[in-house]
Amino acid sequence: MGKEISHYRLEDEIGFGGMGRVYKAYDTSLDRTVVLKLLAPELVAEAASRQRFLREARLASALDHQNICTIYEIAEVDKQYFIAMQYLPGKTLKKLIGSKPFGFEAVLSIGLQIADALAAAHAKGIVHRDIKSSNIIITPKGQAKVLDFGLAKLLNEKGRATDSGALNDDLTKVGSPLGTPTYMSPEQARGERVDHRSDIYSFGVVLYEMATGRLPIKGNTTVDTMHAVLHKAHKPAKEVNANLPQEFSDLLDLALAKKPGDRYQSMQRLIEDLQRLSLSLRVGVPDGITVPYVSPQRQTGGKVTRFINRLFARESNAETLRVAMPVPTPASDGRLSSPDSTQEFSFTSGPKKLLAVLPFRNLSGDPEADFYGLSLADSLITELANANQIIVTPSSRVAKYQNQSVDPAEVRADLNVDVILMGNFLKAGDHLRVTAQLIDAGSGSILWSEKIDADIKDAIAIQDRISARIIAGLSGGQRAVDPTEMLKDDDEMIRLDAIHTLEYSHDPRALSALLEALRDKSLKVKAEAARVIVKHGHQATGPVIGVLNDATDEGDNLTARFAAKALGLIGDKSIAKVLEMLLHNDDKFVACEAALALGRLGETAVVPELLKLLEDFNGNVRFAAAEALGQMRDRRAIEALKARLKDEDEGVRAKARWALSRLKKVKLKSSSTAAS
Amino acid sequence: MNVSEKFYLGLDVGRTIRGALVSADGRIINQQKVIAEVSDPRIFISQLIAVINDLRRSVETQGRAFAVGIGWAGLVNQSAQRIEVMPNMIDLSAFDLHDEIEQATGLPVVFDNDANVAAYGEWRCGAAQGFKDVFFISIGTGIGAGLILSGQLQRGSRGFAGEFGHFKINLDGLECACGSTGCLETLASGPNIVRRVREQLFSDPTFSVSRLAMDMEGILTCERVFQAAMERDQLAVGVLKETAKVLGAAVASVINLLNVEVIVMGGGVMAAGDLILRYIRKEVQKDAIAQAQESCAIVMAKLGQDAGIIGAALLARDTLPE
Ligand SMILES: [Zn+2]
Repeated sequence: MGKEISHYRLEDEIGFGGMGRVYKAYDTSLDRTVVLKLLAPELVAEAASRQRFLREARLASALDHQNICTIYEIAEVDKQYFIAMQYLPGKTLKKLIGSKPFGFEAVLSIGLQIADALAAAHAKGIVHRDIKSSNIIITPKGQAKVLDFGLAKLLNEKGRATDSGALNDDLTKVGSPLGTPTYMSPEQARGERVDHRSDIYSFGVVLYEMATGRLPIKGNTTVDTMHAVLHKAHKPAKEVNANLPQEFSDLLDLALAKKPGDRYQSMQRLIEDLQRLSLSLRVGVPDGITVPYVSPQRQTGGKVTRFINRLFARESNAETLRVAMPVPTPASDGRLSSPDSTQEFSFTSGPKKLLAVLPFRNLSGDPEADFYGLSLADSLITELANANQIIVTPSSRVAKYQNQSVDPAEVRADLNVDVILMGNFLKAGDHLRVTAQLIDAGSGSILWSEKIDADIKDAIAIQDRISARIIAGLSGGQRAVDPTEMLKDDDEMIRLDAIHTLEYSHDPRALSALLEALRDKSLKVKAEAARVIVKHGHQATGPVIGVLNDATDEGDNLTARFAAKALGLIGDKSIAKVLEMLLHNDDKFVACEAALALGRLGETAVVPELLKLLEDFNGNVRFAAAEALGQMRDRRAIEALKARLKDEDEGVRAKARWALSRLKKVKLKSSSTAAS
Repeated sequence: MNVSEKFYLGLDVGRTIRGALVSADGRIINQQKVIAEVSDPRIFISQLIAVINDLRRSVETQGRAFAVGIGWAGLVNQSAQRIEVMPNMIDLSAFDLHDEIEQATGLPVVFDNDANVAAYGEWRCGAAQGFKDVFFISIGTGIGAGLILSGQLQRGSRGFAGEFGHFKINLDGLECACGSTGCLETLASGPNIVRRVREQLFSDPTFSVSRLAMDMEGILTCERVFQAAMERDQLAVGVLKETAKVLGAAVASVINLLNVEVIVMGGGVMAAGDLILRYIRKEVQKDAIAQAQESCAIVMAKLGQDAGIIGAALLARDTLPE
């Protein structure tokens, strides 16, 4: 051996997989042992996929987490691409499990470490895509390290890079994800777009494997397995290992749900439930393994509630409307209380519900049609006043909400109601299209939604018909509307409406639905989704970066732009690193958004980068760079900005002048006139 | 050619030095254009003198040019006939240009602000001919204005009157090159119109599909924006209407303040199309006192880019002894 690449001396070949050869190597410049992966040339042959690979991998290499194997360097020497990463003594989790279940303490301890690593990656928009027990190393001290962040996509993209077949199950084993679909989420098996929830599924498989010594789903052949992943339910873990707590088995069911929307929506939630379990079951966690401190109150707080709600939601019957409601705390012995004690929400039984019918919003852009908004609401109020079990707020108190964008929580505070009926209408010629929604004032969830098309000639009949349908809807007790379903409607208005409702919704599916809406074909829907996503703050950054990366890969520039826009507006210091990388995004507009966001953050570390962008051939880029530099007021920019006063583009000139005015605050006295 | 006909030289000096030989009735006989050399005042001054000498020696007019008028893109101290500031161009405050040019050419010279001479041109033989109370606005790289009241060009006590571009329109607006914030110029000058188009695209990526947005990867000019507005590009129309709104508000204030008979709108930005003029008129109608605006016409300038050179020459004709 003794072959050298860059400043690495190759020692032993320790693996060979879909990605290429893997060596233990010595970094002669930093005096340390590393693992060097030499990427098979065909993986990075195409310029486009190489770019993408580098972008993803560099993003992933920015992950600094104790449970993630550190990537030191991604580089190229003589067209040979290689990745240098931390050398970790230890064994793969796969090997440690063998076919015997771990003790429950170990399951929780290792599970929490992996979960924490995934949560950190998801927060930066990085989806692993190939979580499996052979991709996780356990060091002799019991520390879990997740390998190969950001690399799996390369394999997926290249399609079916195959295993050599003769792999030793060592720390560097690099399997090919498509060869072993056991860990794959159903959406991934179908070849659909995946997001962080796919990792949640795969993590569920790993947890299941640790807890039972078996895989939840297994077939004899790849095709068999694929089919099972898509269509067969796993055996509940408790049936395989009776020693497991029921709650843990239930938690696995949530993580392994076939539909992403039915799963845990974030790693953070899963972690909270794992922590709660470890505390309530008084499971000790061995020393030397970091488990974030959980205050005892957390046992009884809102997270538990949500957990219980989710468990119960699966048992609820369709006869009653069930809304997220405060739920009894677990009994002191740590066991969960029974479903019977949850409150039910129904219009057919129980105490009278207070309802406000708001004036319908006029979307016609024609003020003369405003009249319909009030009269529709008015006739509904009159109709509904006769219905049993409902107390309707009088018209006089709701009139002020005409043509307003409404936050249900505010209406509840103002009018003290349980539910709100709101809607809008579009009048085009003789045609009237009305959408109505019943909103739970507390949670913001959509309880019911309907679109009604009608002819305007017979106004009274329309009102009766709408009233009748709404009353039927109120007392019919349908299940809460799935916002993702509404976003699939062909009607742009309905989709916009869905977003408006999601804006104030506490539905855990809201963010996922909004992220999906970011990909909508309608620009209006995209814009609204981006606006509302921004309100979700930090928790949205990771998933939005995911959308951005996918969109860039798919060449969907418009979606990438709206995602970048949202990201820039959420913009906090914690994602400065991500924004910095976006400065080099293939889509220049995305690069601009990153520059603008960095400018707002005052991230002066990127001034040298921005100075380069100030010379870019693209006018938008020069403009954004000038704006960012002006925001930062960093004096290093003065000369470069002065040069931009002669830019060929008038807008860049104006922006540079503004930036200089901010920078210098020197009175230039007045200029005078005209085009000269 | 009539051997007794008199001629005057008019110069309009900014980043481009434009000069013309103008007949006593305001016709351009001959003209020249050179890019100003702003790196060295001495070269710059010799450029000016060369333009003047070339023009006065042209065949048609030999020996019959009587005086020189120069409009400067800067602040001109009227009583001292000195250039106080030429923003973003060149520092001439150490030179007695007036004296040097008179010495070098042997002709009497008058200095004024470039908006003033353009206003003078439009008043004497352009869109404001025959009126006595005129407000001329020039919108280009900057925004300037010239004011004629009771048939007299008004310059203020030191010659700095008419800084219309620095009307404060927005109380907490953007920093302006003049040191203040929220000036009209920070919103409605040519470059700032283009700036706002670019900002609009960023603040709402919905405009990514606009034809104009496609062009923005390259060079964008005010002309291109106006052309797009004419083609009903939503991005361009939006910015244009906004621009008309602020200009309309400022113009309405002028009408309310001065009760002039005519507002003449010129400069490179206005030359790009009269769509904006129509929008401005609508806004003024909303903003100005009814009686004052009913008696005030808002018209497009007539002389275009030539207003300055013609006006400077005619100013020389009317103010200098022969
Ligand atoms: Zn100003």
